[in-house]
Amino acid sequence: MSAIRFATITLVCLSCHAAVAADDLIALQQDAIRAAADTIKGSVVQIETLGSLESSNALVSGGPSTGLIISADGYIVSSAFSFVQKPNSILVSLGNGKRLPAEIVARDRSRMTVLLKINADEPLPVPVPCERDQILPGQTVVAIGKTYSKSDVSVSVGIVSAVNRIWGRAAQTDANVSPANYGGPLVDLHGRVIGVLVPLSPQASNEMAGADLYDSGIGFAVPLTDILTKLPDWQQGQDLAPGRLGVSLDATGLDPPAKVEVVKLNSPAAKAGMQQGDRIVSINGQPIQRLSQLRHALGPLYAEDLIQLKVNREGQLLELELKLVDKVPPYAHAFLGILPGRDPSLSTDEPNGLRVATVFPGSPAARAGIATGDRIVSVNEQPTNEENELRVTLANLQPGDKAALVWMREDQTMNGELQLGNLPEEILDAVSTVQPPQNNAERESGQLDFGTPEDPNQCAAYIPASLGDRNARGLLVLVNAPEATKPDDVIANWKSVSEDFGIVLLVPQPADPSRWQRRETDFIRKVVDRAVTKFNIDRQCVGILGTEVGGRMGLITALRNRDTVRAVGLVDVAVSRMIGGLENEPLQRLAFLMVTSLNSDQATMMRTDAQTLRTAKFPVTQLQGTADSGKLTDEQRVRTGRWLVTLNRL
Amino acid sequence: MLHPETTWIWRSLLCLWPLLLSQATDGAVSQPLAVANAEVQDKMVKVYGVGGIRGLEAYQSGFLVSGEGHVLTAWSYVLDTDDVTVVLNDGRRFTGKLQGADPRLEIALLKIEATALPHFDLAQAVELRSGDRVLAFCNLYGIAAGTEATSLLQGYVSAVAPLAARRGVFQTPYQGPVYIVDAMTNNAGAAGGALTDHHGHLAGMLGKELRDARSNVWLNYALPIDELRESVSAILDGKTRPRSESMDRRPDEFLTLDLLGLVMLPDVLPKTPPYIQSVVTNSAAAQADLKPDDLIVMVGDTVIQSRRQLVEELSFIDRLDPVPLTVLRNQELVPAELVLKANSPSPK
Repeated sequence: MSAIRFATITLVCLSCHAAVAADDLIALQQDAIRAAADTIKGSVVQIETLGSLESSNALVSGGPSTGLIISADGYIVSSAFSFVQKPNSILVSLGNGKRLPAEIVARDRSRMTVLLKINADEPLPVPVPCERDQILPGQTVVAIGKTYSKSDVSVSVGIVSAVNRIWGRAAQTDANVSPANYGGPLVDLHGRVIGVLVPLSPQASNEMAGADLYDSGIGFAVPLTDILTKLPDWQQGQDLAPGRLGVSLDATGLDPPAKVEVVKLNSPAAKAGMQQGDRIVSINGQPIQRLSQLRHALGPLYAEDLIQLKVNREGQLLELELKLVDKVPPYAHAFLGILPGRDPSLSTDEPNGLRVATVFPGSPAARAGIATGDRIVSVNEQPTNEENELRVTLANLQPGDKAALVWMREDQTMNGELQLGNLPEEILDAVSTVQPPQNNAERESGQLDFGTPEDPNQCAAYIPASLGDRNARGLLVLVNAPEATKPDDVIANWKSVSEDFGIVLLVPQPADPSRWQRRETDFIRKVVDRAVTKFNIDRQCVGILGTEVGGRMGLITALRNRDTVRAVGLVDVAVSRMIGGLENEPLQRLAFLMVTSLNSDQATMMRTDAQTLRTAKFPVTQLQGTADSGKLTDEQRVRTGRWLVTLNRL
Repeated sequence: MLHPETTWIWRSLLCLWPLLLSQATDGAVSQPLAVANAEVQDKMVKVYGVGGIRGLEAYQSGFLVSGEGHVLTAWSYVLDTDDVTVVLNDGRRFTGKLQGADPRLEIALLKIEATALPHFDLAQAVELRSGDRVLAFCNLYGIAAGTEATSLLQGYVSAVAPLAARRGVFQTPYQGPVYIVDAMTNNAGAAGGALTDHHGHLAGMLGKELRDARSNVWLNYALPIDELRESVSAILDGKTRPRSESMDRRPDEFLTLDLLGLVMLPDVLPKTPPYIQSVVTNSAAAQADLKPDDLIVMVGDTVIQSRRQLVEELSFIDRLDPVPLTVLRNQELVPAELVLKANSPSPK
């Protein structure tokens, strides 16, 4: 401490001599940082994990991690990242060198932290939290870890970059945040704890999400005050989960209005009487106009939280009270049994009703007597002139519901009541391959280079010559295992399917020929967007088919881009770890196709995956592959093409 | 815990920072880091050699350690040629001749034909502590060319810690202490650069690109000059060190699970927890009172994460040495010492 006193005196003496003092300033900063580290040091522990029932992952090496003591009787908070492998045992080393076994008390699936408990024989030093309103962007902060040594903490210095990030769950810092300090505290210069360092991502929510941002200048800390508020519940062993309302909004476009499109059955929203078309005006007094504001209001909340919600229903303000939940019962799409109008003979503008191009044999529509060429005018008195109107109307109904339909045949009005079914898993035996002319500008066809100038990745594309000036019916992205098949060969295999069905093919390549990296999903998204716009591709028929490890890459891409990707094909690859907790979305449909080779070692796990997906109410179409692992026959490719171009089914 | 008697000092100091900054704006004198930069850059060099295979870069950094043209740099594939070019801060180009290298520290000393050069004196190098403000000088990504100065990065010493190496998986020859910094120095071309304190006093040499075995993240680190000094003197005296011996320090007759009388749960997973399934009667394990369902958590001070690691760790222990184990039993850590009987059969 004498050094500090000396520094203070020096500072006061020299404050008139700026030139000298600037140099001293650096010394003072150093001292301040060390003092902050010394202040918090006693509350920071090293955590070691032992044994695991899971296989390993690149960033998860099993090295030590960091934790923060938050109560004198031995509660410790850390990052869920350090426990992703579900360790068998946990050891905590205190600053005095004492090692104690620890147990996981509960997890927080919203902020990705875990609560541990050790039985300490003496009171432990508890840190002082920094109040949320005192966390100021620009203030100097120190990220503290304890992975390099059991006795000493490591420091990384930065500033608070922002507050209320990740939908209100975390503060952001530019200090280095990585597995070297995940679970450790972010402190101010007084040594007060701003938050606990964790990897987080605004898009994804698993333990690993955001870890790819390590040491990038973007790090996150969950405010300690938030953790302490929930501590009494957490100590009971109750896992904390993000709070859900149970509504779907139209998420297309940039930050759309907070208008409810679908209220999920048996959700808190449904129980409180929310309806399609309601505009959410406020939550707990916090005004809301757009989707992002709704996410900000809900982001910090947990399941079981009671909220006051105001909606505007056709000009009338309604006040609702509801309790958020962890899980909304799985949502299943209702099915009428038609493909919407695409037949060339029906292509003229029809103001009245949506054209039926195909009726699925044996479907509710077929049973009600609806035929190709009919025009559906309304469902339950909701007009259905546009494909999207019928889609949203059906999304608010569920399989088994009765629906009153009105349709036109020539000039004759017909009506009937039918019972809605489930989305089919079988592939139609035949589908019309003809398309109306669309008068798009002349465009190139055949194989072309579809990469972007800014990305290192290559991407081959195949545009069917049969397309002419028509809109493409579907987009199929083929993601192969690295170094498995040349893009030219992939295109040669799929060319005739592309021509027959009017499907655009994309074959993206990893930048590093030996492996796919997660961030390359951004590249795939980019080329998909470009292709969809350029060839007017039906947005309901955008699918990614991945073979072996390429299947995992395809699925990651699909899950990160639910707004765009409607279908995932998996050839000889199990994805069990990626689909746990996956939820079906009313307006962001996702269909699965699984192809399993006779000799595939993934077969058993793929069967389990199919079961998991079906329980979550996703349609899963299964094809038996050949003896050749990772390969499709021509017949299977044709069926895949037919599956893709009928995904706009209603 | 906050120290109440010092809190007020910090509060008052923090209030004064902006005031000081506002006063300290005129001229380079009031910008200590700029002063340091000006002093250091003349001592930095850019080193060019071979590369290009598998996308490896053909450049790295170095600094002068004598007025007569001795350049300290990283020992790497870049130097695998007779045609190493050293470019001084003033743009002069020289052919660098390899004087010698220390493969353990992965450092090399080059010599160029020039005199009266500005240089660092290794004897004057400073020692850093965690929390020290540091500057890193290096030609990362080969951005600097010709008369361009090397890139200046700033940060803090995060920790002074041994360079971790995962035994048996990946290892560096050097495992001594390094400065871990929060500046992004782990980039192509940075190896061989200088780490200084905020006055520009030399403290370390930036190391080669490396992942931390403990956390698997890329590591930003520098070798302390204190650790290099002796080796550099040896090279200057013409004593080139041989490449270090094999890292495998396994004794000839090492311990196995069988020898100790331990029957573990079958190894079916990448990280099967090391649970004891049964203990052979009258064995060392039995005498140490180990029991079925005990989980072996430590050998000595090393935490054991899997059955495989246990076998690996035992293989570094001579069969005649006692084995200190710690097991987890009913959520309590229980120490045990296993001693092999002299008449046990030899391992194959």
